Amino acid sequence: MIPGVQNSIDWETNRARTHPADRAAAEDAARGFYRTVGLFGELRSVLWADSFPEFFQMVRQVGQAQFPWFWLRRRLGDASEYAPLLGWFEHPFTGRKIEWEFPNPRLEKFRAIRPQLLRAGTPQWMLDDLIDQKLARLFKSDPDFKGFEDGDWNMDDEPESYPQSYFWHQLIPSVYRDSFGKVLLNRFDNTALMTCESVAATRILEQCAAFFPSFHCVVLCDFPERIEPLDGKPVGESLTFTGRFRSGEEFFVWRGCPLADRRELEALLDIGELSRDRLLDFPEVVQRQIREVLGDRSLMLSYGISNLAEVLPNEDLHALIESQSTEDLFEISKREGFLEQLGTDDFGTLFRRRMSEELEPLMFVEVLNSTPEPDGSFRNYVLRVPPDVSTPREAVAWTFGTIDPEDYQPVRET
Amino acid sequence: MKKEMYRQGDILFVRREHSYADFSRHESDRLEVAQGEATGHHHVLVSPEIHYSKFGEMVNGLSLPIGGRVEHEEHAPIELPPGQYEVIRQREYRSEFRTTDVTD
Repeated sequence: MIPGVQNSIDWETNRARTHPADRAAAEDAARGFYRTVGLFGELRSVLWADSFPEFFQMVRQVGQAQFPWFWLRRRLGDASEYAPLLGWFEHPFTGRKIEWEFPNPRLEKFRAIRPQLLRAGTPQWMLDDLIDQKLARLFKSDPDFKGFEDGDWNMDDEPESYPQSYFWHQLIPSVYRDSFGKVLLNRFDNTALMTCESVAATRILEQCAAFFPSFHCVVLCDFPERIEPLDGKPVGESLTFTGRFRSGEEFFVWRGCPLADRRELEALLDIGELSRDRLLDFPEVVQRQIREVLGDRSLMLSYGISNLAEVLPNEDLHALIESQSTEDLFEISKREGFLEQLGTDDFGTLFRRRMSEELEPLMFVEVLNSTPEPDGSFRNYVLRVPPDVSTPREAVAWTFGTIDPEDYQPVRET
Repeated sequence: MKKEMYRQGDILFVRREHSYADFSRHESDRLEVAQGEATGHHHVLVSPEIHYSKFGEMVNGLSLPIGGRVEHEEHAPIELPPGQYEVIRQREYRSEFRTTDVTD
């Protein structure tokens, strides 16, 4: 941090803004950003989008998402390894990294030839500059770039366009979550070197809903006209909401996931009724979010195993079951009325819950604690056991490893 | 012949006629046999002479020339007669490929 410089933004307030953007102020801030960063050239044109869909369309038109790779590389440091860029965006609410799916054959190529260049005596700094120039060629619309020919470099492997998944998985969710700039800033905050850019970017994001820098041209997006939370939270904190821009475009966000239309939102608001087929109709990014939400313990308790079995693929359901506590699984199964009592003996009671044909049944043995509670009562507890046990005694013996069920007869038990 | 076994909560002591374990003499007369990760309560063996073996951090064998007494805050104590014992911790099924230890 630069002492005395305010390098933060009130994201909740910012996200709640529904007034028209002060376009002159936003453009001034953008010019300041370009001057500060110094790697996008002089800002010559500003494109204003009235809505997020228009914003993304413009970002594409500006040059197939001219993402400032070389600028990021320079800011992030390591010249030879681009690994820090992978997973560069982080999920703002879970802290989990989102895998960067950006195809980059040039970087792979460069990695391959870099040792040769070093061996040939190319100075490190020159190599670094070389990377920058190579990467700068990605930005074909840069009129100032004079080109750099190199026989080891094949321009043909440059993809014609960035994949749809880049927009779906990275950019759109980021902006809808108001995190695009936030993530940028978080990265900048890591070192004092980056603070200037951070402050400059913050100034823009106080004046508009999103921005995307490219060479000589910035895309800015106006604030929405209305945001209506559907999760009972204040506007700035809500993750499930509908919104509307002055241009009339509406947008729908469910737990941070942008959706195509209101029908999708309504379906997700009643997620317990979702069929598996319906789930698979959603884009992958939404599916992932749905599974994450369904994996939440409270949802497991609310919707139960039966409903989830209708929605989740077997492998997801299996993973979810494995992650749940035995007590919860037992209680849910009991509540849903699917527990079969298979037998009782001196060691406890054996229960089974049948699952689909592809999934093994859940087996539980309920046993009585031998030591009384302080009030003199005896507490039951439940353990999960393998599906092939047939008696409570066998089940309890299994819990102690290799003990033969016939041998399992403690002389004393407390 | 049936095995002689003693159980205190999630720990089973199975008496062995012969043991191939490599026992170490415990310097104290109290040995923490298993930690209660859930409650913080431990299974503690008390005996004037304790020999034990370990697998990793887990006590898996005991040799008690003059017997011992296992104590735990939530369970009644158990007296172990002199002899050698295998110590088995209770486990729970999670999936075909995974089990977890049960902890008091």
